[in-house]
Amino acid sequence: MTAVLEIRGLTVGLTGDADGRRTIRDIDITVPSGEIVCVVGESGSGKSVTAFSVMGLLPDGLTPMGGSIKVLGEELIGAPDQRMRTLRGSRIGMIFQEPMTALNPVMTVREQLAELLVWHGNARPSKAEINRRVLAALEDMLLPNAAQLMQAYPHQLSGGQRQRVMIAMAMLLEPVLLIADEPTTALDVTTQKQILVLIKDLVKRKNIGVLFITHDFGVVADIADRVVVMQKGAVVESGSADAVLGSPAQAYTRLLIDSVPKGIQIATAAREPTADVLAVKGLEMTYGQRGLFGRGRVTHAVRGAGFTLGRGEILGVVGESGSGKSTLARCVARLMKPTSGEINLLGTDIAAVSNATLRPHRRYIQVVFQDPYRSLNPRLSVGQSMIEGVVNFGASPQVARDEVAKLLELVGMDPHVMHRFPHEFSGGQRQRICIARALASEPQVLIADEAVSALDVTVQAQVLKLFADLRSRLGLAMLFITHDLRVAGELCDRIMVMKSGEIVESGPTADIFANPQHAYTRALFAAAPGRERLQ
Amino acid sequence: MAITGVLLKRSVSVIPVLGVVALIAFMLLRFASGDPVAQLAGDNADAAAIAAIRARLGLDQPLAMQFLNWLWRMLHGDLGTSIVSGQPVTALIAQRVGPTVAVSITTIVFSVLVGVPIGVLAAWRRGGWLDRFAMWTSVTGFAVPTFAIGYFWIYLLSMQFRLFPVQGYVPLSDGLGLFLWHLTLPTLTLSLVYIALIARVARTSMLEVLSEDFVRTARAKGLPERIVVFKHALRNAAVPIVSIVGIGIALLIGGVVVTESVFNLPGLGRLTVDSVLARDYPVIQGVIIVFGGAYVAINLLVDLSYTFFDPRISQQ
Repeated sequence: MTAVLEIRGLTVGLTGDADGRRTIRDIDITVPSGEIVCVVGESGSGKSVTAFSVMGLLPDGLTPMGGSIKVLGEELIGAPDQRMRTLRGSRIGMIFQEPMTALNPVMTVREQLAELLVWHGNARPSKAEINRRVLAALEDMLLPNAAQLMQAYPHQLSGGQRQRVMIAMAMLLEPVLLIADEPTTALDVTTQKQILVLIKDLVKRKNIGVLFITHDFGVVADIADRVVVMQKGAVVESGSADAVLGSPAQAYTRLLIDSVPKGIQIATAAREPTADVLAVKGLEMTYGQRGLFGRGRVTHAVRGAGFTLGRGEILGVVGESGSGKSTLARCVARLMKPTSGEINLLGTDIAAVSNATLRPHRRYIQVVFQDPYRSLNPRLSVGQSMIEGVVNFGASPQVARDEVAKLLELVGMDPHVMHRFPHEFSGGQRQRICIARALASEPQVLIADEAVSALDVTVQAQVLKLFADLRSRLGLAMLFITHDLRVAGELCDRIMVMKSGEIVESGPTADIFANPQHAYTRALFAAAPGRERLQ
Repeated sequence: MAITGVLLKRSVSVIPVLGVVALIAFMLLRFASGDPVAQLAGDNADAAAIAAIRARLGLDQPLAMQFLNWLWRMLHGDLGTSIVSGQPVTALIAQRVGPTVAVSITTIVFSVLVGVPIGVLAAWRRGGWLDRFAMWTSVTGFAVPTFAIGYFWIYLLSMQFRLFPVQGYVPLSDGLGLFLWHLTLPTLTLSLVYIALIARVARTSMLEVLSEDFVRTARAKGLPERIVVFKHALRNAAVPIVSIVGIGIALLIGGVVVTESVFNLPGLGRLTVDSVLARDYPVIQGVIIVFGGAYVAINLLVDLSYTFFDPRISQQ
């Protein structure tokens, strides 16, 4: 067993920074051929910087300060640009998190693969030769209709197909090392499973080494041979997957493993039924309309959705991308007008009323969105953002200020942070601020649309606890939208599973987990990463 | 949708636009002050003579009829007769269109060939000397009026170095070399502002694209940097650049008037100014229609070119 990648004492810092601040410090990682080494860490741990150091593609301003990176014994630090360019693509392949943006949107799949053959070869191969090799590479990734797919543009492919194309591209010149930077994070859980299986299979067949960057210990449990845990730019623990997962030596590793949602409810006590605050009946949402010549396409985003939500109840809506769960949330919050159906909020049907009539009802239903980075106005202080809402509902600025201070305390933040701006906070803190802002109008129903999906696992666990806490303290009813069945299981009293715009199954969380009825629900469970190894 | 389908649909959609252009051209001059008939009849004409001329020109009919008649004749290629010279408007325009089209084409081609690479390289080495130089020059390009630039070139390149003729126009039929030699100074004059405009837009557009993930992918594939920048990034940055070139061609029409005066080119710009001063309605209308039509056609081409640069657009 030879090492394809050996990183020794790697330190990366800001160019020309004399303060000795380092982005990563003294990293040691070895990737043997035929093995998958997972580098696990939260955002800011330096795992991506490590990966890009190997590629020689550090962002402007970052530079290796010391240590060594060897690929098949060849030193990469200090290697000339020309040599690094040759190695990239031919000896080291790389795949990325978001296959939609990682592929060039204006070039066909064939063009993007063919380039590698043209620019890495000594002589330009013939067109027939290029076509043959591109086709073979795509077929190798088990892509159906590979010949047709060659002429397609990235936007015409599904997420899973795009990532397979990316892998085909990375593997085209038979590299010895594959670097995968969160390659399944942006994919649906069932697609993630397929891609993980594909990567495992590639390792076996081609005897390559894989440096696999991830934040998800579930994924680690599924594919890793070895694990390297990083925190704040340093390696805190490394070893074989069995050793690290089975008996982690560091408290931080333990914390990361424990934070992986396992679908075990935080509050298991059965709830007493309460009065409904929200009742939805026969909700339909249709996008698009018939074109002038009757050829337009119509998409049924939500079909005949119906459910009720009681005071203090948390209802989970689980589905993959395109299942209609976000459209459902937006309709219920009346951020969009449903095509038909009833939305009964505290006894008033708000489904079809005009915006003016709707306005007084808006305060009773509030939304927290997925990305706390983009849902706060960067030019307003946190206090200003929140006071705005309170004043809108008729409070004086002084009263509003006191109110906001109370809300910040409620979500576990120091009220003194009010005059700071969003960029001064971490992702988890921002999401707390977004939640506090949503609570400012004293809503009866809170809609959380993938509200914890963009957060690190440890932060995710804290925010889930906050939601559970708010529910019991304020009697808040919640509609919790998520793609992750495990997360829903931790928080929700009841779960609805959506697929292609329809609710295929719904029931109490414990029942769904113990005895899923619908084949799709069972598929979701089967695809959840780390299921066997982490339970 | 097939490309011919898109072409057909877009072409049909410009018809109402052209109709509005025609209506505005027609109405604008009806509301202008001054009576061209009185002017045409001369100082000594009496009311009866003026009425006779009015009837001959069809100006005594209701406005709607006048418009429809005018439109009908226009569709048959008849833009009327110049009140001043008595020549058909189409003939006048045909005589003058050569220099204007020539200067416009050389200006746009030169501006794109210079402006796009400057913008791309400035974005690629953001904050470097080329970036700072290019952005400083582009501010100058916007700030200095066209005629001043024209006289500057004449002074420097014609009078001091005697490289180019001071003014005048030689048609292409007299030889390509002579034709381009006479067009060099007008082109340099007119291009400066477009180079500035195109370089700025290209830089902004490229800066955005260069930070995208697929550029990182292209580098991770080990492609040479010039391929990363000029193939992967530039093609994605093309749509805003093409738009600004389209807008530039429209703005060019104004710039051409000044440039033609400075360099004494017998083009449409000069024809426009002369006709406006003489209140030569049919000629003014003809020029508006020609410029309007050209603008609409260029916009159509720009729109269609989007689908070439970005395959996602044809899907919508």
